[in-house]
Amino acid sequence: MKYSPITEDQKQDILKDIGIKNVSTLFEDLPNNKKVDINLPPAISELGLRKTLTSLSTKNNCDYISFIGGGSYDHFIPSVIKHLISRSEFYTAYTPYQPEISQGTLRAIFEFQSMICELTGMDIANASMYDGASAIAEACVMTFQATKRKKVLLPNSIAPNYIEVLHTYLDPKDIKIDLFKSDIFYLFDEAKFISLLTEEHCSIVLPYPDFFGNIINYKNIIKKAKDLGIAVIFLYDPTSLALLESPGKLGADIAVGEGQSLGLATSFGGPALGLLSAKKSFLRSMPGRIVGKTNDKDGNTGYVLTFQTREQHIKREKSLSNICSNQGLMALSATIYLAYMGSKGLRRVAEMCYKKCSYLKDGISKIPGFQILNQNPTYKEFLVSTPINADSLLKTLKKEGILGGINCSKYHKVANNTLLISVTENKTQSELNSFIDTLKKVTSKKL
Amino acid sequence: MKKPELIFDYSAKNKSAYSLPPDFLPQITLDPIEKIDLLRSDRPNLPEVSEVDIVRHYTNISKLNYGVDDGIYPLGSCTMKYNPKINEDLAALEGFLNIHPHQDPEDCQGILQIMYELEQYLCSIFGFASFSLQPCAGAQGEYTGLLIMKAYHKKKGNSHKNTILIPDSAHGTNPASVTGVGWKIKTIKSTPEGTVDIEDLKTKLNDNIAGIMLTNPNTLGIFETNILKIDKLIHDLDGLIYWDGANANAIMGYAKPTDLGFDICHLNLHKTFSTPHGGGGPGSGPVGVVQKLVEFLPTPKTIYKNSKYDLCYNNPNSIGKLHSFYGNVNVLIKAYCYIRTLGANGLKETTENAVLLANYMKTKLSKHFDISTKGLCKHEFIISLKNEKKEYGIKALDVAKRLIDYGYHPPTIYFPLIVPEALMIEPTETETIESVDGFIETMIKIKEEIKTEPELLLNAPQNTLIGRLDEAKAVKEPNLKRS
Repeated sequence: MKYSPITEDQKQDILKDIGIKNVSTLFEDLPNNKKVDINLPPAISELGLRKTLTSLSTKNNCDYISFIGGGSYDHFIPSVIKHLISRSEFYTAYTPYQPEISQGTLRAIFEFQSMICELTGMDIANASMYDGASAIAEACVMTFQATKRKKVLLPNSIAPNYIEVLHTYLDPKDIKIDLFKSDIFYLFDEAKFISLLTEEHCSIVLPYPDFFGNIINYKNIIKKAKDLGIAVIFLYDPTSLALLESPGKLGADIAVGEGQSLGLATSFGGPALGLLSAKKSFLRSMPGRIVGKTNDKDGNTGYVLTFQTREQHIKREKSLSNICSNQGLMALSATIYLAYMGSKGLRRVAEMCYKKCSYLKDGISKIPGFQILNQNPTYKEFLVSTPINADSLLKTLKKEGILGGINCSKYHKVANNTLLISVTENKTQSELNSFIDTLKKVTSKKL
Repeated sequence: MKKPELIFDYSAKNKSAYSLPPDFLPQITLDPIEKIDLLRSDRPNLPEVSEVDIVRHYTNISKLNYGVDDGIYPLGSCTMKYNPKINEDLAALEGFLNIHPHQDPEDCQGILQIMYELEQYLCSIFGFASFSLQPCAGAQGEYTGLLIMKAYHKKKGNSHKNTILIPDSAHGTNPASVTGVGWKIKTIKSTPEGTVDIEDLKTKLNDNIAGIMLTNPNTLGIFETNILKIDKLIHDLDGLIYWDGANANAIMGYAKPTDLGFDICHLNLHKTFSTPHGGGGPGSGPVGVVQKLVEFLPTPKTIYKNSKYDLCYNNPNSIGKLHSFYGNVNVLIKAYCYIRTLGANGLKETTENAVLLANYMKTKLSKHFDISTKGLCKHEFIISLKNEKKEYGIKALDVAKRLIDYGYHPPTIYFPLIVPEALMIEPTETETIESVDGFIETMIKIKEEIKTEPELLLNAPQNTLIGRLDEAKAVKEPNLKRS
């Protein structure tokens, strides 16, 4: 039988050794209250499976030039990553609870923690969370644990799907989300935000950049937050940190990110990679696995899962998070990506994301009827108001082989003709020009 | 010269690996960022290495690991079965890797079909009415399931119901998840055999009980034969019964949890359904429910309407989203492939062979070790070294470390907590009789060593790059990143 190598003869010998007549004896203690009927398609061979899945994969259409972002990005992924994470010693291994035979995994996690701290300017990082959304949720819980204050203030310039996940994690714990809405949804009203800060807030979440690509200097907010004892949580884009000042230098207490941009495919949204790092005062309340460096009795350096008393297998109902398996292999992918890029390569990626974004903004702003809505510099994404209905514009662009972006009216009721357009380093000049020309072409007919 | 240990050790000034196209926009400056004082003032200290350094480093450190592809991995409760290679290849097809979560459903018909069909398959195998594939791991599945239970009770006006019963043999994530949703726990004692003590359970019943979380077969590898009695006790209080499906490998084709009275469950695709463990993920923890709980499942749901697959967001009573998108989708593809490969008969045989091999090992090892289960077990069993500890001063940890010297990954140790000096063994059905015999022989040899040369165990492992690590020092002098 597929994957189970015991032969029928061996089965008979095993039954004799156990001292039973047939296999059904092993299941006699189950109530035979109902007959078990499993209705599945008949088993197929490897050849049949390959044909079936290949056919299914062709029913997904990725054959476009895509300008869709919104929390998942189409970056350049170096080939070395898949070769290295395909080594079975990495991907078929279990959690490194036995460090003597898991130094591969443990060293890689230690490298990952180190690199995330370098990028974010924070003191400590863990081995990963499920995704950026659950990572912010756990960060909010950390700040609640530290202060016992029951409110979190966050602007609605954070990705809408993240806000939904935050509710799922925080509502059951009676941690209230104060959702701040600027009068114009894409223009962050700093003064109004500051006026809402109170000593009832355990933390604020500051997106960096925000959902609309805005790069904002939050220094006034951070100062007021610190005066009121409110923890500052930055939600950052990891590639942007090669170009932008680190959350640590800006005064973040906790820095959270989505690591999909670090060498992971878009993959219909998952697996993703939650990044969590913080000041060292949060060490005992940080969820997830943490690897530390130590040695054996002969002085040989070794890496080991540490501070395990925070975790569920020890603290059980007293643990601050239930997380067990996380996104280990994706953290390894990100580690290899960051080693491949180095700070110079990552800076190049970030500069290209920024510049190509500027170039596209500039080109689109010159098309009659289009207006760039951002007033801040932008990273990797920007908002455009369109002269025609955004949905029908996207439909027309699709026929030309272009995925033009995300229609913001999905998330913000006022934004009927607003497109969120994303540009990464992987776009060529001709692809950018082709997008601009096509936009011009399809809207000039309609005006 | 010191041997390189971390990728950073390969760094040299101006070494690089990256290959990126030239900048065709030199005229665009970074001034706007500088003007708002946000230009990076320092350089993150990342490695400066070449591509060949990267390949050598990760290749070398991978050899310090032990995976299922290296040998038997008898970790009880983890179901470390073989990860089929064809599934890795197929999940990596371009059409699966490059699809964007915000694309129109009409462009995603392939992946949506897989998600829809996988849900149907899981419903058929386990009896539930509907599954959400969104949770990324068993723990997130438990959290999701408990939120669904909370939503059900809220709708029924059962606001006084705030307590979940959990056996003392449960996996740590169970009580941790209950706390996470803001509920309380009452622990049920186990009998000396290791099953739920139904008399103790009865004393803990009251109107505040929202439900019970059970693993069945339980964490000792024993089937809870009182399950139907337990069902009645809980359902009579309008409580819900949650199945921790970590041990699903032991019942496929022989029982459906819904026939055993379970209302809600999570599965671990990275256990039962052969998706790789990854050194700590990514896994997947789908949550299944009976009909009365369907309305509370996470949003969106995958549907099939007018001959098209789609994502439906119109779920007013849903508990919400757990994940930014749809869960660990690429992992789901591998589980789908596995089920298509095995079919119903294959899954039943999987369960049969998993339980056969466990009983084979148990029969052979029971002549040398104290095993808590006297009769037949399911897919795993526990050895207790409490006698060896008393007589020879040898603990479960010492046996585990000595197994490493013989080239084996040790079984699970010190879980469940109710068995002293526990060593939990689960071979899974993907082992050959030869590899199982090899492990048995080694355990018998180690038993001899316990009596005649215990220092071999106390000093183990000696055949690895490093010996036992000073874990106390790792806490006293935290060194959590490269300085």
